[in-house]
Amino acid sequence: MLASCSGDKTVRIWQQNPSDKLSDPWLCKAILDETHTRTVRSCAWSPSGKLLATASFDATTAIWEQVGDDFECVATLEGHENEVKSVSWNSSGSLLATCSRDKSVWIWEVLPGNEFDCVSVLTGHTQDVKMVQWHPFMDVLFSCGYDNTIKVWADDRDSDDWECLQTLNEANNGHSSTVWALSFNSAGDKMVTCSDDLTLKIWGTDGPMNGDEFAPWRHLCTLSGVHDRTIFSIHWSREGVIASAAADDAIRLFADESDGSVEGPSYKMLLKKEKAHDMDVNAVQWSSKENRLLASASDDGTIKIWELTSLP
Amino acid sequence: MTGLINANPTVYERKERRPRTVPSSTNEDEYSPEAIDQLEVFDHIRDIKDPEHPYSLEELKVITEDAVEVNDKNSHVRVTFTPTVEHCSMATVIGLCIRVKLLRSLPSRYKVDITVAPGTHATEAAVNKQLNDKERVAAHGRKPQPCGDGGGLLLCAGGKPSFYIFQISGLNSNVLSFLLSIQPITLSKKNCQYLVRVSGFLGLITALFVE
Repeated sequence: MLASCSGDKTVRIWQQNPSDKLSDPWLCKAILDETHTRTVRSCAWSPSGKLLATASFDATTAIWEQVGDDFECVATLEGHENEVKSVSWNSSGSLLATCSRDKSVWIWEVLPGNEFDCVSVLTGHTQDVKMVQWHPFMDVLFSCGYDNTIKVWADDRDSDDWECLQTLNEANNGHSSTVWALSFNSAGDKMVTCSDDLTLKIWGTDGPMNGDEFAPWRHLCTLSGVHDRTIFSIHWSREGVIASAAADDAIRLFADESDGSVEGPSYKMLLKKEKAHDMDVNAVQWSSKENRLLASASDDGTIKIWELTSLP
Repeated sequence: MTGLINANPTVYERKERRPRTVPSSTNEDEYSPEAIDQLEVFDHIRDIKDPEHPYSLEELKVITEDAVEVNDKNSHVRVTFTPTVEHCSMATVIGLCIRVKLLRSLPSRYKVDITVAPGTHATEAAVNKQLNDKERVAAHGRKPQPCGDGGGLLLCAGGKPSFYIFQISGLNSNVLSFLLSIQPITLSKKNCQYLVRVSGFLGLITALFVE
């Protein structure tokens, strides 16, 4: 199952067609409309797959629940002053994060009965926040945006409020322009970010992955010259393949080839897909179920499903 | 006191319009698409009106034909514009006008870069970044933008062929005459809220500053 969202204010749910996998492999099962009044910028399935959160330029975040074959809007999260750009569930599905052009990041607690309580408003960014993403298994939140930074947030147990633990900016070998997206590897010890500065950056942490102690993140390497225009989206597959999508209409795939060498990680390009779409490619995402299935979405109004047929 | 950022701009003569020279089509398939050239792109944007004056961007030399670079093969257009004064807070508005006009005029395969000419604006990098962030451009095209200090005027872009102007208080007569030069303002609500629908005006204005 795949959810897509669009400037046409709708969300569409697509499902693999069991009866005709060749000529008509994906069917649109539902159209979620008449809720958002402007562009739906991003969407995210809850870890259980039962809920879908959608973030819209209408300043709201909607929560949808599947009821039979249909999807019902069960909650609308209001609070941001303007465009909500991204939404992310934590690994247990107990917390939700949203971010906006109003420069803030909001953390919501998921309560029984589809109630959502805002537990914190994080105001560290100086410009619009483009994306929020939880760590794959710790309750540590990452955000990035127009101020060229990536910020790391966690709950301070003493004060019982969320605080910024680290800011990755140009001074730490970070990006020199808007950071559009970030994604983690499955082990949770590496992160990739993409930017308007036309680079991808890989970051790593050496700390224990138990969430007891914060281990700072540091820059590991920069991949330059991989796209000709703004890189909008990045996603790291469970098999370790990084997919990137950009305003140059292309999709690229990368994989680690360092084999534990002392010089640190190095990444090589596995594949260049020029003209993957007719216009800007806004998003790429690997399937959480089928390892080598990649979905891409574009300003040309289409979603394409790609299959990586072989790994080197 | 006029309240305008550049009260006395230099106005230049417009270039003569010349018909585009169409290459002889004897050897070409008449159905093959004709390449887009510099003059065609310039023709799309030369008549955009300056937000402060009833002059076109061409008359104020904000844009010239030479400032348009076209690479039809790679579907790429770059427009470099020169604000009339270095600290012109209209630079973003002008850039947005150019971007929106080209978005509507060029085939969708085109990538467009709009930049301030190097050294002609105090906050060049910030203006360029804003003009080339597609979410920011979309936001400006939709939402009313509060204007600067002491501002009493909010403008915002509406649906495609029109835009609306809200909450005009203490309206400056020069700004009013600029607006009237497009189309007369009609009062829509009692609470000093004016609504102007300007059909056929292909520019985009998000904010004006008045004293």
